[in-house]
Amino acid sequence: MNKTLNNKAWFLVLPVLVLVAFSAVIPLMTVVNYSVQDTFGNNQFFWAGLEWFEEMLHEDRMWNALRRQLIFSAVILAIEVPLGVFVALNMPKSGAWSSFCLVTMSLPLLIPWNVVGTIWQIFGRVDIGLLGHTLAAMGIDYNYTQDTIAAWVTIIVMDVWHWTSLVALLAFAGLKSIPDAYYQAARIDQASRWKVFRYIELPKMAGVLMIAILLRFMDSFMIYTEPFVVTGGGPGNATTLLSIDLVKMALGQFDLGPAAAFSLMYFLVILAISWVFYTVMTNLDKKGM
Amino acid sequence: MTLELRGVSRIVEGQLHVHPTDLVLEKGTMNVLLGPTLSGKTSLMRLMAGLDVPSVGQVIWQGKDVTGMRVQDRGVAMVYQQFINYPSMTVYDNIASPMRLLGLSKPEIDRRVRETAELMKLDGMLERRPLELSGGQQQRCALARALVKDAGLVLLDEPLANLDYKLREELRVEIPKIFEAAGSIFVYATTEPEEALLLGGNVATLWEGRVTQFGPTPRVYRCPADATTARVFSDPPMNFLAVAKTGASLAFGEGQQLPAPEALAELPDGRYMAGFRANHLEIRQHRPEALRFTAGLAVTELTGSETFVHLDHHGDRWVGLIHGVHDLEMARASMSGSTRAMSTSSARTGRWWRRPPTRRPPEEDRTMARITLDNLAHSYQSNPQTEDDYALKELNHVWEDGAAYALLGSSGCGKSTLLNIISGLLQPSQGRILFDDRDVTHAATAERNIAQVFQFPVVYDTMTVHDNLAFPLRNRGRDEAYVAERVGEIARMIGMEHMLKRKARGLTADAKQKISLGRGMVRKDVNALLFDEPLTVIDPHMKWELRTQLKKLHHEFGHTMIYVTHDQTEALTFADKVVVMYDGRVVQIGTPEELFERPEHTFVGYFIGSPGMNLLPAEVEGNVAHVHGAAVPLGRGYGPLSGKVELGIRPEFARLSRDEGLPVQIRRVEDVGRHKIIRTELFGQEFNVIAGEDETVGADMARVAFDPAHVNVYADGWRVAGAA
Amino acid sequence: MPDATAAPARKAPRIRVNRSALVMAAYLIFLMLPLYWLLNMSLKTNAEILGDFTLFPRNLTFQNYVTIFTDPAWYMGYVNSLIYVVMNTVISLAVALPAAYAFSRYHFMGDKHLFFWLLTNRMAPPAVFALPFFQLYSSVGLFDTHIAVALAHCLFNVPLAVWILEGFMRGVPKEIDETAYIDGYGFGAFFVKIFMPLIASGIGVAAFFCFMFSWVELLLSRTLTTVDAKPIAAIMTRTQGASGIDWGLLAAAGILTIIPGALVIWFVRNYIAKGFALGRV
Repeated sequence: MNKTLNNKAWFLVLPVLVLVAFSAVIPLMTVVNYSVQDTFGNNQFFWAGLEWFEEMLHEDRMWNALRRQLIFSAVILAIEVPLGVFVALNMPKSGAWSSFCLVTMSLPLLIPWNVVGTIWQIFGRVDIGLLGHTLAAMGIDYNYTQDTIAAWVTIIVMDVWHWTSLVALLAFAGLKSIPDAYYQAARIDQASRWKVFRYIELPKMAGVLMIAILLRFMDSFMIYTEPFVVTGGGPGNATTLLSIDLVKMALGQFDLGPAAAFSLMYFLVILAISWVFYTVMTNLDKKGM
Repeated sequence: MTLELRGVSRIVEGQLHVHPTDLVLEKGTMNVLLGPTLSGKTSLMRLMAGLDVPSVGQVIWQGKDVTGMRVQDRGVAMVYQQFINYPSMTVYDNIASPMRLLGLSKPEIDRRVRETAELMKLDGMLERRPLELSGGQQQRCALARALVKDAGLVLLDEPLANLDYKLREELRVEIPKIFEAAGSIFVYATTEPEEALLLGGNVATLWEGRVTQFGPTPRVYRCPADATTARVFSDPPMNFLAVAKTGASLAFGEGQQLPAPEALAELPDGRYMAGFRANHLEIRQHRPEALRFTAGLAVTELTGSETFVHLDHHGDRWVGLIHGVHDLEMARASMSGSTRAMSTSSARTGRWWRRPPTRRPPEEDRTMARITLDNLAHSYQSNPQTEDDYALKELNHVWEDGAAYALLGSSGCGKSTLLNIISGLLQPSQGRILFDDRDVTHAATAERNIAQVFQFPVVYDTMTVHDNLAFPLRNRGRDEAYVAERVGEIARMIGMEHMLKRKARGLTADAKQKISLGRGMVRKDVNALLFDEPLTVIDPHMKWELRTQLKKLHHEFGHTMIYVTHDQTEALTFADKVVVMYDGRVVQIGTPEELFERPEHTFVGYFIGSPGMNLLPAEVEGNVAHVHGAAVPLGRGYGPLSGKVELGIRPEFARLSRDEGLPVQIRRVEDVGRHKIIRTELFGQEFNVIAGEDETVGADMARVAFDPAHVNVYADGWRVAGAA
Repeated sequence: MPDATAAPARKAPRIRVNRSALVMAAYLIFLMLPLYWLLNMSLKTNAEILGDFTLFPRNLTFQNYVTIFTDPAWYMGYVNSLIYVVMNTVISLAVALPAAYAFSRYHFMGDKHLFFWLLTNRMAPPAVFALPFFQLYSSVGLFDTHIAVALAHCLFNVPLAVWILEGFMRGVPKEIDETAYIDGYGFGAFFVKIFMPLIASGIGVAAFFCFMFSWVELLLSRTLTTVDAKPIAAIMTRTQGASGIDWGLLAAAGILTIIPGALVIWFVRNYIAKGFALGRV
């Protein structure tokens, strides 16, 4: 749509600006403030410059958390996106059965995140959980509080359980928007099922899939509650992702300076990666997706 | 009340959308802005309405400078191409809303809403919501909302562009009448020259943001100030010829020479571009001063009453529109053009080459299919009870191999349903469909070996143009050498050879549609080629070109072609046989000529031809009919008839006269360029007559006479044959 | 024109439908099993949970639910959660509507940067903001109030609402606005009377997402509350008593947190497919 130039439109965005400034800019300034100061307690602060940033960059702690975080996000994206698309392709397009699928699939998305954690904490327990019990009965050594692999599998399966539906629903919305004429043309052209997917469905889904990937990336990168409830970051630090580490540092150990420096770098990483996604997305938009 | 644009111009982001324009529109006039898409019509209109502020210049309304005034305070009304209504309000509230904002009293609002609704034929649906209405009704509602507030300036931006052909025609007749009653300044944007002619008033032709000429419509049409105006204001396209005048002789082409016509005697020597309209080309020397040309014949299209010829005159593409049906395969015809269209126009007579004989490709490349529809019917309901439940009513017919058919009807008449049954996208509720002798009723689409082109372009966005065209061939495992050869041929035909390497995404709608057409035609071995309103998204000028290409293709390959459309011109020019459908029923199948001269049903008479056939209630006795007591001679004799008896007379076969025929009153004469439409009243009933461009209509012509051979007799809507 | 979707060729799809149904059934079972297990546990006594391993409750009991509904410390948690979620949804929509309109209709200085900056807030990890929020709201005396949580959640819900609404608004032709202005509507009257009904489904979708993300968030809501506005999700940690975890009660509380979400989904079930397109396809 061709928009008209009108600087009065600023008045319309003013409320958002004020609200977001209050709830984002002021807290962010606090964080910046902490990140460049040090304290010996008693609320006495002094200038520390970029010391905390240097310290964090030289410590393994943040790098390890970042590495674990990147692996986690990469793995869940690699599972959820193809699986979500696959589910969407198999969803019934209309009728009561379709509504039923939609409702059931949306359910995990609306469960409070700590409850999601609780559900999987229970489900995976060997003594009272269906999954843990069944695996144990099959003779598989599974204990997510002790074993690193088991812990990772649990939080990944949990995230897949929790969020694949979002990808599937977005992909389904994309699929539904394809006019029937495309499928008809493909039938007339004798295109194979694979070619229909490759040349019709995938290009038409590209827009929403980018949204799905962006959302899933951001949210998985910020994930805190669910893995914290299940594993508490353990065993050891095996599942300590960035947010878990940050909260530990800030609220647990009250190391405000390092935590603040950590926060800012964390935020910048998300921004950088999201910016790349966003740019790709808007470029797709421009090409008329 | 005048609207004046003083040196108005608009620049958006460094691009000049409207060149500096001066324009004065007077009270009570209809002003048409005519130009192709993106020529600045809408931009200019938005400046008039005050929706955009001009970068330079002033807008003066009733002597007051209103530049930059809030649009709410301007008191204008506007109707858009899209059907813009407030979907959450009823039709009544939609029409009432501008008046409520003006603070009028309740009874006053109610009175005016009902008045306007009646005028726009919306009285029955005031309580419904706009989205529940048909497209035509939605646009009537938008028009009603624009009219009801008595705005001094009413702007209509291609208001009929999204409507069916026949609906467009009806509203086009109504709008000038409404406008006469209102007395405001009307501005009407359109891409179609014919529409501008029908609306009359003044016309401003636009080209690339510039008003090239402004004046009374017939004058601009007959005396365009420059070649651009001439090109914009012509459909079919203007024919051009480069000429050099030296003394009394004209030189053109590759050394041909002719004596200059008298009309050009005053013209100083030099090089000129001569232009003349399609309808000023004739096959024979129709008057002594006409010039003769020699040209090659590419394609002929017959519309039933006229013949379009596409010519190649030494590299110039020309179009001729000739009265009557001419079978040019037989005749060695010559043609002549008149010189009166433009001051610099020239024309001449020449010889037409024979049409090359239809080339039948070798048998192994072609499969043949005669399509048999046996007892076919379809309902979208699972358990249809009455005949009304059927979207397509029972149908038996055989379509011959290699012929071009058009399915013609308004939206919802079942034509797309029938097409989808043939292509296998839809399973009929009953009956069989046979390709030759093979029953394919339940065969999958792919097995039927057909090609189809849809209304909206279907292209594979991520593939290149080349891969798009190659797709159907590659899917069938044809080898790459063959694929490359075919794609090359097709690309040449649709004029896209230079962009084969481009991705299809981001191309314009008409480029995409050309790819769809190309993909439909790339396979030689199809049983049938199906087209579902393929030219909907194409600009009027491009339509000509593509239609000609299709026609040519049909001659070359002889595929069975089925073409669905609501546009009679498209149907008549494209098809050998036209299938007219109405309310799920096939009303008539016939050649364009048959449909024109002997419509089997009054609906066909109404639907085909613009304006459609006139109907007069009559009593018939032998070979004389009595209309309100006056005798009308008939070409044939009839026995006793039962039911409602009517005479059907096409406007083309009626002529005004001073002393002969039935008494009429002339209501208005519309000069639509190549002919005049005379709207008259005959025994209190509307009656249209078409007269030639050159015929004068005298005020004393109070009678109308019919050509007895072309008066058809109908009983209960169906034609009665009669005996010679 | 009725189109040809209704009945594709009869033979081929049979096998495909079955395979699709199988895939869907497997996926839905995967989704439902953990939930079933939670429900199963909530209807058992602690003795049965810890004792025998049973696939369905032998001694069906509603005692866990009764405990929750009779103890204000429990059920006020639900009330608190609902209060701040609704407040957040209303605030987010109220400020997002005009802003989305501006973004969808006008070019203005810095519009693209502003839009991206807004979106970056959706990317801000709550963990980063937890402590600063705590200090901010403590200093302005809003700590442990519903409005504090509602405002904090605006951080990620407002950008999301703006983004979703902008998508829906872009789908409404600009000509409607112009027609209304030409008819004489002022901006306010046009926006409320004509424009809002047009994007009603978009508003519904935005509200759904605001509700969803505010309802499921725990980190911020827990940090900003202690007693008066404590959300149910935080109260659930109370089940960790001296005698170990009260599993039955925990499961019942969990089930009860799912119900509001399930109700919301039920109401919007016909719009889910369209809604997830976010007005962008």
